[in-house]
Amino acid sequence: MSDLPSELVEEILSRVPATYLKRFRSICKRWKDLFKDGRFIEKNFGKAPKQSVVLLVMLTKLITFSVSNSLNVADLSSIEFKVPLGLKNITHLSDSEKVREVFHCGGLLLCTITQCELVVWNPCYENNNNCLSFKILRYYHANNNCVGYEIYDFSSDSWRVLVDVVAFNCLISTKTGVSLKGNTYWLAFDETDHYRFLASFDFTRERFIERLSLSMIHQNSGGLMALSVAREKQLLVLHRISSKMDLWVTNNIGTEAVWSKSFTFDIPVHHMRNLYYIPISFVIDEEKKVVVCCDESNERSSKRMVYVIDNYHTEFPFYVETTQVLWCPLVFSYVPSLVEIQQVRRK
Amino acid sequence: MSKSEKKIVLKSLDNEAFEVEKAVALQSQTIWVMCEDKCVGNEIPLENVTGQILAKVIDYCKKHAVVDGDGDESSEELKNWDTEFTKNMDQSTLFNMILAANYLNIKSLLNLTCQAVADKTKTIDEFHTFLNIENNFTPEEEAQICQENLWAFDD
Repeated sequence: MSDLPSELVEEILSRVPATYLKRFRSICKRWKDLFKDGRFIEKNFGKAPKQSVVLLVMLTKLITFSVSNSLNVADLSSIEFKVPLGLKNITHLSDSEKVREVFHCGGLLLCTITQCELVVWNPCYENNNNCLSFKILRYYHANNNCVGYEIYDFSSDSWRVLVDVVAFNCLISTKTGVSLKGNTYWLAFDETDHYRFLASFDFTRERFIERLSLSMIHQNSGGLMALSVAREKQLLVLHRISSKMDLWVTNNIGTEAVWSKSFTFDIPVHHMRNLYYIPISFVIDEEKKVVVCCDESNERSSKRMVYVIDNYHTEFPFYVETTQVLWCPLVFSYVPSLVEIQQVRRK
Repeated sequence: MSKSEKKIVLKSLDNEAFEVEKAVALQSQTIWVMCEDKCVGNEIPLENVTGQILAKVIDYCKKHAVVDGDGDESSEELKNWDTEFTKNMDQSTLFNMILAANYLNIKSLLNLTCQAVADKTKTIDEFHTFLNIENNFTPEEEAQICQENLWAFDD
């Protein structure tokens, strides 16, 4: 077969998932360089099928697994959080350090470690030596309100204060942040007017954008909520109130977000006695009709729950409790990418 | 417009002639420009495409000319048709379809065929064969890259 022109080769390669492309780097020099090209990386992230991996974070372990109704943590292959690079130049997490929270965006993982250290990591790479324009937002709380905001730029390796961002008179649930198409969303509560909404931050314009309505949830009904993203295009809210758990979905992300109910799961009474059902993170597999959910740690119980709601569109959803875990786990669906991080050199 | 003006004749590299509706052929930006320029008559010679490939391209354009602009149900049907269309194509046909879609400038067909190759080709060897790429790394460099390639999610 004769040669395809290079622009057509690029068209094909931009449609191959990053996990495969990674292996193709050894084919020739031109490809190796191409896969480092920021323009190509972005094109690839936009065009290649979103092959998401479900990750479960526990202590310093990152666990991959496929969603199924027989979730068995003991069987899972696990990856240690090694060689995380970025804001902190450490090569390995020590025993006393634990991963508290994980956020992900464009194939990168942002982890907060015990002692408030931040680590940015692309699990696709052992060595990170390139750069794309990613930013990190951090904010300060005082009297339950966000009072200050700062942005970190990889290019300058420094934090800068956002001066013209109006402080929200609200509580932002920090563990619930999810990224979707360049914005980050959190569950938030307006302290003055007593209502819940989704706060969103636009990283391009570096400001908060309009509040997303959660009008489908009765504001007086209370309950517990968790936020998730599906197929890099839908926002999902899991809402638990008394013995019911509702999953809400929106495709139309904006002030007028229209939420539709995917399913209601009735928690069996005998489960309620021993278990708490405080969802903090969850992933959904729409094809298999399975939701994997992690509970927030609960002071009253040493039990941290990971559970599965299977066949959720049927009358009797299936439910599995996994082995007890020691540290509050987090679960999320992660899309690998070719993005590399510039290694920050601390003086 | 008379009936004959609505039709157009496409002639392949190996002199095979295809009479098609103008609406079908105009999905190709290349043909569209040729017709706009009026530099060709009713018969358009396509010097880079064989009859065998052109027939397939026309099948694709016919399907898309009919269904385009309809509701959700037909777009689902169209997607299924597209999947079936490329499913049984061998590598050499796909290769030539990509070249034809590029030459005729039919964006959606180029998308479809490139995605089909990306989906079907998963190993390094397959890519070597398909794209005729020569490895220009020294053995040392190759070993170095293989080392770098070790990563968290390998099977």
